[in-house]
Amino acid sequence: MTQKLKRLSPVKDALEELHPRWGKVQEMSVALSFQSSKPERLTRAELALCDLSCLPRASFKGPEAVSWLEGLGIAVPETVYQYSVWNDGGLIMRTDGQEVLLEDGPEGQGIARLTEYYEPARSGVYRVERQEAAFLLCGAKANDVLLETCGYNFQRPGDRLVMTRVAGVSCAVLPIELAGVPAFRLWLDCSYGIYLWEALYEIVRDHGGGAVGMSCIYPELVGS
Amino acid sequence: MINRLPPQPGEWIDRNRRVRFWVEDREVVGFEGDTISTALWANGIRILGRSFKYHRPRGIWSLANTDCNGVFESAEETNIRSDTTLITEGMNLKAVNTVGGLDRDLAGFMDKLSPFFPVGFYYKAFHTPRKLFPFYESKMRDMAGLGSVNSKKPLKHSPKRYDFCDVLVVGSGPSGLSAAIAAAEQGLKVHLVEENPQPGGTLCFQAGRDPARRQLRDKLLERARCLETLEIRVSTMAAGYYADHWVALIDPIRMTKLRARSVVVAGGCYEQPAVFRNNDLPGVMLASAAQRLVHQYAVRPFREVVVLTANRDGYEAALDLHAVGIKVAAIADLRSGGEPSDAAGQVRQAGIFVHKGSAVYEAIPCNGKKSICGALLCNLDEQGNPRQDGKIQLDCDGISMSVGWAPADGLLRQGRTRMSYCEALEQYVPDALPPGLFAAGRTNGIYRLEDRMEDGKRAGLAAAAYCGASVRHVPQDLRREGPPPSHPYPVVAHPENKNFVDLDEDLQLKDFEAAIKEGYDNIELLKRYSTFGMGPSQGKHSNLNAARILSRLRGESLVAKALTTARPFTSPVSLGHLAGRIFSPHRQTPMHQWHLETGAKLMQAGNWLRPEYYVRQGLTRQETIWAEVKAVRQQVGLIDVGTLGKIEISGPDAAEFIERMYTSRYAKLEIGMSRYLLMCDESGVMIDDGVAARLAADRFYVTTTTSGSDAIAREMKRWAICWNLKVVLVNATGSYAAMNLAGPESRQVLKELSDIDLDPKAFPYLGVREGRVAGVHARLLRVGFVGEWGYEIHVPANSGAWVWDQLMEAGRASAIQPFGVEAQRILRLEKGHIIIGQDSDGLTHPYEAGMGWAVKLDKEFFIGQRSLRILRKKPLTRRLTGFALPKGYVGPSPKECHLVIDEGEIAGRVTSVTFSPTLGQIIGMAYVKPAQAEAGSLIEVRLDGGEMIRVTVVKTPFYDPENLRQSQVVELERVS
Repeated sequence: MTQKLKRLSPVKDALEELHPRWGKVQEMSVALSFQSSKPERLTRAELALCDLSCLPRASFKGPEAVSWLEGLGIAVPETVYQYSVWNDGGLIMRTDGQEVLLEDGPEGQGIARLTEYYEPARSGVYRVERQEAAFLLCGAKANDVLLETCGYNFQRPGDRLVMTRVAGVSCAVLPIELAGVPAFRLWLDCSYGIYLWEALYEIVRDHGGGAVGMSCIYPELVGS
Repeated sequence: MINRLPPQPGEWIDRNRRVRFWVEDREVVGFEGDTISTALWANGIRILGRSFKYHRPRGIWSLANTDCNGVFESAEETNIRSDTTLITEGMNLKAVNTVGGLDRDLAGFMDKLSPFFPVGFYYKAFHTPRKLFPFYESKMRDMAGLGSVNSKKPLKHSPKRYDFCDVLVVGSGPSGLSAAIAAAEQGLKVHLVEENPQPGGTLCFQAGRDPARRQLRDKLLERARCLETLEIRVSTMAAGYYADHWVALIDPIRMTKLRARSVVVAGGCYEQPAVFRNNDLPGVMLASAAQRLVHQYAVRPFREVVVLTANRDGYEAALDLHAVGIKVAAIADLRSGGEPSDAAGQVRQAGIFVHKGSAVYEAIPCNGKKSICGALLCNLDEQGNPRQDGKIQLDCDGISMSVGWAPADGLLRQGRTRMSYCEALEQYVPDALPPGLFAAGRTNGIYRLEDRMEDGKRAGLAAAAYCGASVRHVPQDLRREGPPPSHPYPVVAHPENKNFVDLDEDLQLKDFEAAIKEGYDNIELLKRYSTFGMGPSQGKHSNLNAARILSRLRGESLVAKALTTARPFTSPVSLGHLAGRIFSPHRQTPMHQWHLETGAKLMQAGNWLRPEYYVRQGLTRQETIWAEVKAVRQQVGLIDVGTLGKIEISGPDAAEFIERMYTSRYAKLEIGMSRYLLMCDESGVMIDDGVAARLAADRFYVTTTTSGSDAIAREMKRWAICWNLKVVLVNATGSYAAMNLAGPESRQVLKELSDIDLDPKAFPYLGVREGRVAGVHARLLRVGFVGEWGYEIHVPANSGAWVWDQLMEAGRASAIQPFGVEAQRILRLEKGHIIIGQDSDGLTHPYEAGMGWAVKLDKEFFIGQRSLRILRKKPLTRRLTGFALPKGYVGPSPKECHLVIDEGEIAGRVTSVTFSPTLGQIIGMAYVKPAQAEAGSLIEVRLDGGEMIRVTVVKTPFYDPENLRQSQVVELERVS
């Protein structure tokens, strides 16, 4: 059973069907691991889908957004769709000339701090509520899943955020590398979360992969 | 396997693996690698199908993946093409389009009735009397059946896939392989697709007697396989070409949507048939089909054959057949001068007699047209017409035709390549290719083997250069040279007809003559009237002859004459391939699971799933909905309104932006207050509505209709750019959960959970406040769509379920009820609130809908203002008005879209109607003539059966016309 927490993953109900071991990350119930005959790290290397919706995120948008963030010591990427790593496992993504999307790692407190610094009355910087569903698709066969669902060519080397559609849903996709295998971060409107999770999970299963819990991606969470 | 030849070099079958299968209860054994057609032919079974209209026996004809009549079905699959489907152990097949089976098709009598079915017969015969058309239609569908779909067959997924490459090469013959190698050697990612199970193209079946040619295939393949960036995909057909080099690849499992940067089409040519009487019967086939049978499948096509030809290929085919022990009774050469090359000498040396300037006049049928036993040859006069004197009959069980070629140009033409007729070759060739699309080899009109390889290399390098590779030198185009491999008119008239031009549709020469006489003398019209080229082979063996016949009859040259338009797909593709994996994106609110667990009956609203109502034990649907209405009116209800569009508009020009987007005034809207929004398009038609909440001087939170959110957000972004205003727009629809807590006890419920001062003075009607609800930061709007005291509570989506739970818990003492969309529709109708899209249509402007109060024409500007100024001055032609039936009325009720009738004419329509449980009567809204809109007027509504009902026009709102319940505290009316 999950604990009664204020924050719930948009795909919690889909995860529940897979009988996960629950834990708490960033005040949200998360699937730390799943019952499986195969060790999750092997699944991760082959093909795995993981829910990372718990990671706090926010956008700051407006003509002064970039300079405001830079003033707080945040190194905003120079060009649109570039990204950089932030704090412990967090991300800074430039989603527009005047918009920056920030996401904390599982233990990061950056978003909370920025929200404290942010003054709503400040002109030219607007905080945008980000409640996306966030997934990680990883493993040697991860691109095969995208080839079945997305018309963008992720075979080409790239390290930029890509705005595209996956299985008919608008997504931001960031190709990265995880433990030596290709990996893709996906963010999408949370109202499509269950749909896309189920669509991707079916394809992942067809390709011999499975769901993995967050502790497989962030080993430091094992005891959470 | 009585017709199996000894092992042939390079054969495609594996003789170590026997495969047993059944065709119409007959056991057949073939080898792995055989197709259904080749396995049957190897076993002496020559009837592979029955023709579409006349049910004539048909056998192997082209064996080029275009045989149209060999179609079977099994318990799992329908429309199994016998020429392309490999046999598998245990497959159990039945031919389609027969009555009683292939051998004893009882519908064979149709062949005798064929004189009564001239071209266009169906159009002329069956349209009158009209009432009999359904009968004719069902009979025609039965007769023209092409198998039946087994709806119980196991579901088989054919997931589609995207793929990408630099250069796509279509066809793996000598030119295709050369092109692919040349492009891959430039370091580009190259995909080479071949529709057959083995690569090599003509090198697989036209190199039979020449070991050097077979070695060439091996050499090219070896080189290709050494190139890491070159991927060869066999059994993959490039079936459709779309913009920007997007090509649909079909393999046995799936459709791949391949995006290439450039494309080389080197698919070779389709051999063209000669037209003569009985040219369709089993035993008559294209020379290339006979060569494929021999070299690829080691199957003897005939025992004794007459070769009809007009090019070197026919001579080569005769020699190939001779070499494997088939007696070549003679060669009939349409050309009076015969073959100019050394092939003529080789034929002579082989003892094969050549009849120059002669044609096959007819194939002599035997065994009930199930085979042939001879060929009747005739001489041709100088115009190429058959002479009636001097005919000779030769015994044979097969006729092999090699009279010409047509390029496999489907993809090229889909890609808008301009094709022109080349008289030197007597065929169409690519004339002007669009950027990034290249042709090579025989498709490009290049026929000599060495030239084809050179041309392939040229095309490969050109494609690589197009992709940006630094190619040092791209060779020039090669010259297209004769002698022509195609005869200009391989058509022999016969008084008794059955000389088929299109085997798919059973079209004879006389059908074309009749259609052209009737005035269908343009190739596109002729196609549509006669249906040539519309069958499974898509005219690959009939389009060119049809064009030749048309031009001959009109006395015109083919030069500068276009062929029919080519469209995807070039060959039949199963619907399963097209469907692929089904993706139907739908949206759910964060409270979705709660709704399900509480018995919600869901309904589709746009792409959202919403609770229609919450099922209650012992109550009907209607009773349940009424109970939900009652709860809101008397206690408190909670509805999930998270599907509403939510857009944040910020920046110094935010107010100005909203002023321009919507019809009312917002610049002076107080911070902390909200106002109704109405959006019109440029023509003044109402397209959306919602509420604008002012959070700060430069920040608004705007709601839109559920179905309009994405479109409105896009439209806003477009206008923001057009107007160059300083605004920041965020479509926050999915980011916020929203719920409407409504009813006289709503304040009481919320008070327990919120730190916001809910006193009406501190938080008045239409007020907006931010604070915490159940510990979560929330935006609260005091609006009243349902006409009760209420709060629209917006919270971050991932806390939505939590807040909902807490509200339900806090409302337990007040008997809180969740309510669905249906109850909300009744509640809003009682209040006379309209729903855009239901109570308006694509032409409704605000004045007709009684929404003129929301239009401020004296503003500086808003979208639709100019049109509305004009409309304002014009007299109304209709008015949206309320109506009601008396309390206690029993009888049929009007429904939505029923027509309002005035003096026998349509005056309007009912847009909304329901029984109001609060008022105890049927109420609704309808468009009526302005003269009918006066309260108290009686209007007539026509019901389903045509019966008329009188309803009374009533002023809206029907309920609480003074708006007291939402703006003041009203004591709870407890109903016992």
